[in-house]
Amino acid sequence: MFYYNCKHETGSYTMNANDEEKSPFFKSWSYWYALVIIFLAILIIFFYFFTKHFS
Amino acid sequence: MSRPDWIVLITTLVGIIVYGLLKSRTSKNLDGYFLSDRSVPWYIVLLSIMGTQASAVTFLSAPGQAYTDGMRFVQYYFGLPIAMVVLCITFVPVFHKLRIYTAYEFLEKRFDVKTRTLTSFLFLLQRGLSTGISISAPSIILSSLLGWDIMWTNIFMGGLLIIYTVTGGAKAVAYTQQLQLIIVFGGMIMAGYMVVHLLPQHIGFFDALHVGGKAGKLNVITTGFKNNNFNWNDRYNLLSGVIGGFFLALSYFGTDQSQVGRYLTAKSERESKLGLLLNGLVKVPMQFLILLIGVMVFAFYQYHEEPVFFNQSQLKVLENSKYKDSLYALQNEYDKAEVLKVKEMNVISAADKSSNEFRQAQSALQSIANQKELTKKTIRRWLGDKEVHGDSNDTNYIFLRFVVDYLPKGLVGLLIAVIFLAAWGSVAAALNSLASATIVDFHKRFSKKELTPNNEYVLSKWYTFLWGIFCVIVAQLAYNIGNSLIEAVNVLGSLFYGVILGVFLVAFYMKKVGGHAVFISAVIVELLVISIHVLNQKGIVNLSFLWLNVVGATGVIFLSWIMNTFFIDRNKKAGRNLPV
Repeated sequence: MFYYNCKHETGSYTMNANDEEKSPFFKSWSYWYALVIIFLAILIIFFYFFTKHFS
Repeated sequence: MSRPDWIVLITTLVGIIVYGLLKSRTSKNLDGYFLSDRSVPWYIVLLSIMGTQASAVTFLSAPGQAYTDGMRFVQYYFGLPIAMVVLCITFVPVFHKLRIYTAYEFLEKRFDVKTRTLTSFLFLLQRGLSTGISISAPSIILSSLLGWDIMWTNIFMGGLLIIYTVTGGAKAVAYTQQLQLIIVFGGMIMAGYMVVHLLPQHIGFFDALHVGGKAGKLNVITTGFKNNNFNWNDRYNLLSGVIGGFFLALSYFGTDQSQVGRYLTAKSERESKLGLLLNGLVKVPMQFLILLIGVMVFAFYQYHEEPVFFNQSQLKVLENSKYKDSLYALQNEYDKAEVLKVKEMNVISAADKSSNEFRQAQSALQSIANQKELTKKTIRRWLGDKEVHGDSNDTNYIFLRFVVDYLPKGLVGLLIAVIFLAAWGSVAAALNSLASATIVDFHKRFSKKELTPNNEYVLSKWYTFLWGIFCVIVAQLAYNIGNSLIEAVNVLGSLFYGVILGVFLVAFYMKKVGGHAVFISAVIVELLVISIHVLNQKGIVNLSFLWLNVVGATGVIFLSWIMNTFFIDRNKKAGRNLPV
């Protein structure tokens, strides 16, 4: 969880950046983030074996 | 170019301009002009951010880079998906909730006006110059390859898009990018199919992969370690790609208005996030496939005669120099070796791997490859001669040379249109963002005269037009830069991106640090980054440009923390208790 302070016409305030809108397909955005990172890891592993196989 | 090629090229370009004009209807205020009334769905956001990032150079240089250096360039994008996740957690919610027009507006709300002005100025400087280079890079290649006049090519490459960018603002930019990207991908898929189709009948896709692999072109993953030491000057490896690429992508997508302006057009925070995360999923495979086309072109040239130098205009330069006679002799020898190479490659494909014939052909090919390498080195050395003043790098010409020489009529026109459209997509977004930063962060911010929404709308159109003219002029001036222009653009970005990112990271994560500390830190670290780059150019320091982003961002964070501690202490002693 992270917060930040902003000065605005109405004065200083603190906003919670985790006031999220509902994510599509999954229960929360965390699943989307995990999907992106896991997919990257799978790609790197695939590329590793691809490099090995054809070198 | 043949008549069908011209018809395809002109029809495609005119079609895009007309489509852009048809999509130009927006509200006549800043929200409508720069943010498309915040009404764009996620799939347009996705295509728009992809179209903004993928310039003409992406499609020209990447296959050439795979041809010469292999596929390791793909590692440069490994940090991008991680950056998309961080953006969605940190930047996007803040930008949406504050309903800002430019990323730099947030910095005034968080720090002060000088920090906002500094970062916005650095953005204008960097984006203005790099957009000019983005126009000139494909123009130089097309004018050299097809004999077009460079000035007119620059005007068509950077000027025609001004028509719909000025008229329709962000909405026209986003919707044309969608159509442009569909045509670009269609063209690249057709080129990929054709290169495999043009291979000899007995050579299939997987055989071509093996040919590329044997020549070291399928080096997708490299560690950057040599003799147990990490090479900091190695540009593309796993570590620099994940860490350096992460900082570069976070900075580019989080703090560069040309990208921030794209996802701020989304109708909700959810649509922005979805567009960015899907970009994180598709970018690496897309880049992999573009590079793979380069490897297929490499395989193709193993069974066909490869030009001694892909940029033929440079051979003409040598023909008019003191090397004229030596060039003829060298070319003659090279052509003979190429005929022999094709013959031996066919022997290898047909022969049994354990046969003597196979082994003899293999050893003949090895000696031909050595001879070729020597010939190419000699030509590059001649072109690098101060008296000749040539361009010794032909990487950017490889793919288009293949297209022009071997693809059927009509498809050549389509692929040249692809180059134009890719350039238009990124340049249009850049012009829109340059105009938005100019009016929102400077004109509107510092003007004492109250502007009506209609005044702002008209002024925004003028700024878009003027930035368009500026970028075409820069493109014309950049004509003499030469060498690999994709790297010139990336290096230029790395000089500023890291520092700007550092300022934003301090804004988000170090709530005690105030405006003075971050401003002074940013100025000092920017000078440090430029100094490191100059020392690198002189060979005193060995550091690849991707690491400059890391130095810039971490430098600002660290120095801000030090400065803040110093100022807080001083303020406390002076009886003040203000954040600085």
